[in-house]
Amino acid sequence: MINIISKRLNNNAMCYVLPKKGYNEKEVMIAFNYGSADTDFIADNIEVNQPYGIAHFLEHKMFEDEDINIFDSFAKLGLSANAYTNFNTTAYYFSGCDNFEKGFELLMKMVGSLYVTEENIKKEKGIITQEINMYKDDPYWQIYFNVLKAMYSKNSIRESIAGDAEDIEQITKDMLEKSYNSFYTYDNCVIIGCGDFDSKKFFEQAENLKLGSTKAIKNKVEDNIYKKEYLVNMAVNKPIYHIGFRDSLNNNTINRLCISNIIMNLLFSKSSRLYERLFNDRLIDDSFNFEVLQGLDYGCTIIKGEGNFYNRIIDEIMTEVKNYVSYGIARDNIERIVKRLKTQMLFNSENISSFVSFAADCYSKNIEMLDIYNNYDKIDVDEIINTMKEQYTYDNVVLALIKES
Amino acid sequence: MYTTEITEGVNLHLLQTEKFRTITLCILLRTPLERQSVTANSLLAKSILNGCAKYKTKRSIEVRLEEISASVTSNVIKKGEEHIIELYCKADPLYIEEVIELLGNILLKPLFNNMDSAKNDLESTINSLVNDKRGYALEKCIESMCEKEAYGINGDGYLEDINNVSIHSHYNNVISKAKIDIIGIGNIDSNEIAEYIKKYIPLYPRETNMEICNYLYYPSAEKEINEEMDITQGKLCVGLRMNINPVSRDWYKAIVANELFGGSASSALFMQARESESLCYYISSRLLRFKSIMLIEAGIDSENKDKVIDIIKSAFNNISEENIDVAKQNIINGYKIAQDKPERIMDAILGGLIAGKNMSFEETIDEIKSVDTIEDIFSDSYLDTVFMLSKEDRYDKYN
Repeated sequence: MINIISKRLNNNAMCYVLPKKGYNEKEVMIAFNYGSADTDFIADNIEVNQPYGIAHFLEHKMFEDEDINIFDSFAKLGLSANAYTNFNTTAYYFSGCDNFEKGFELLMKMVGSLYVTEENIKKEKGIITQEINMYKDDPYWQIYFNVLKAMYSKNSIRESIAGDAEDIEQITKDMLEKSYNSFYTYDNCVIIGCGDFDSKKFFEQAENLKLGSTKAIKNKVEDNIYKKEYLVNMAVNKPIYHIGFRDSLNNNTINRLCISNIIMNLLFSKSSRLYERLFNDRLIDDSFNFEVLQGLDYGCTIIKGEGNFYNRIIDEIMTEVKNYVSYGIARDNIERIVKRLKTQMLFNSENISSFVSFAADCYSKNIEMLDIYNNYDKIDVDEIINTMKEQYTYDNVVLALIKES
Repeated sequence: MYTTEITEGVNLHLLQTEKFRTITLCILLRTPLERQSVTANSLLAKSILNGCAKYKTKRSIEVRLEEISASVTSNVIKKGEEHIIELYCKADPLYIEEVIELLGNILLKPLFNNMDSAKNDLESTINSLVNDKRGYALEKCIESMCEKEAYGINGDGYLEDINNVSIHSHYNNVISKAKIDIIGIGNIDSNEIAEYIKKYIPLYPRETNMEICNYLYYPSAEKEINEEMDITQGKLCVGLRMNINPVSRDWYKAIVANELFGGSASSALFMQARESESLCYYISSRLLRFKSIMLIEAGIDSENKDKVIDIIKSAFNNISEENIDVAKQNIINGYKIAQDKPERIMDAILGGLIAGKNMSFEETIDEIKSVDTIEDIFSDSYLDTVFMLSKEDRYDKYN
């Protein structure tokens, strides 16, 4: 149903091809398992602590070479290049129709070397400061980090991806080189190609990638909830809230992910009885949404909405969880939700860029994409009930709020 | 593409392709963009999925969708001077008959349950525009620029009109009078789909006559509007009247010129304002085809406003053709890539319907290829409105 070809290359990098027969577009991504949360690590037996925002800063600088702007080089091939940084991933990609091999060569060349000077670092600080300011005015972005700030006292995922102006001011050439050498390595990288092309040739070409061989060791952080409620004021029309529930890390990744997805949909999808009640009572509107966020040393679910009824909604969630725990969950109810999740995966797999990012995300979690699909059928009711009982408690809940200034 | 008239005023457009594993179906109820109906249309889109004769509640519709592996959303689209109510559906081919049956029930036998929730929802949508500062600046710029034209009407509707909507009579009016286009894309059997649509979505004939959108406008003077808010970064939005016929060969020159001016990361605006002067993270220009408007937006420090406007003006008056071949190739690739995305194919088909001239993908590409110069393309274009959302003075005092 969803077709994926994978290969571990001779140089130890992981490589995936997602065939899309008949598509005009082709996309190639090279992603490193290194993101904004990975500021503390051990390289060559020495502990390193870097400023927040450095992974994202490095992402910007990778597009520069001695005398050319690499965006332009892609554009001249008729390709469009871009990149993103999230908590545990920095991803570089291009898409287009023609000149696929040349683009792939250029992408490999780009991630294979770093060119930074004091001067081009200074210029980038101006641009990134404007990027940070753009996010400062976006309440939906701000509240997302506020709920993480509330949920985690130490983990770097509580810090915004680009860092603050004061953080990036500290960034130097040496630091950028340190992070590049520590994480842009074969054993920390995945190459993903999607489109209508010959996978064998792609795997062959991918062997040309030149990187360092051994990654640094990331520090795993253990911490507690920082604050039960995190409030700020901004220019918004009414309160915006995120309700967060931390999950425990004592379960293998893929099970955790599947269970969390099932629970969130059982509780909050438009087919759930809780959503129906909240919507009909006008406690929520269409802005209501939810997310499952997981990494190797963090994990949580986030419920997002707007309006004044956040405390009431938290109570309603607890009541609904108690109902499921007391009376159980009908098997066909779970099967229907699993069908929903599989349908969503199928729909997403038709869009090249979302499929490619999904593949990169799975790599950073150390899971195989199709295992998720198959694992849904293995989850039993008791696992779901136990997770609900453990995770959805008043002790575990935090609330982030943005109110009108 | 296979197009067939189901009945007068109702047309079906089907694009058969083996590229996609799923089927995308879209029902478009096209109405003129008017102040007196825009809020009612929005409310209709917010409430049409609240229950139908066979599946009485929002929840039971959603449960049914899960059973037949499909998803449906309802939206309003403002495109040119049309206001379109859309049912957008993705489906697994295994259940295509069940999906069309459900769509028919939703469209033709809605119950309009829970109107209070729908009204509450619409009120939130209208009010929350201010939370998205970029979107707010764009909307305000258009609203003021087109205050004398239908295009200045907000597509989401107006708070003061929500309680005056009589949903049943509005629905009856729309379902019997709107121009309806149904679009289907995917690995489909056209005859089978047409059959199911006739069977499950029976519609009466209707006389429709959509007016052609006026694109010519000469501003008497440049308008400048400033608004302050508790924000960190200023949002600048500049609107220009291009006065280029959107259904002419010149239109494709405008597309190429826009690409060179502010349409990409290699464009003049991006290179000058961001890469050379570090004034911003984003700056770009886009075209609103049917009104022949160009909008430029940027996030900047408020005190740099005049500097950035100067950059915009000088870049606009002097667009270099040096990279025209690269720009053309990028636009063509954009069209090719759009062919891989059902939602973009839909949008292109709808654009053709509004233009009254459906061009194939190959014809569009040939038009772009044939652009050899953009000289004089903006000779009849004028700056109309500058909208600036700035950081409040008060905010500095408090911090």
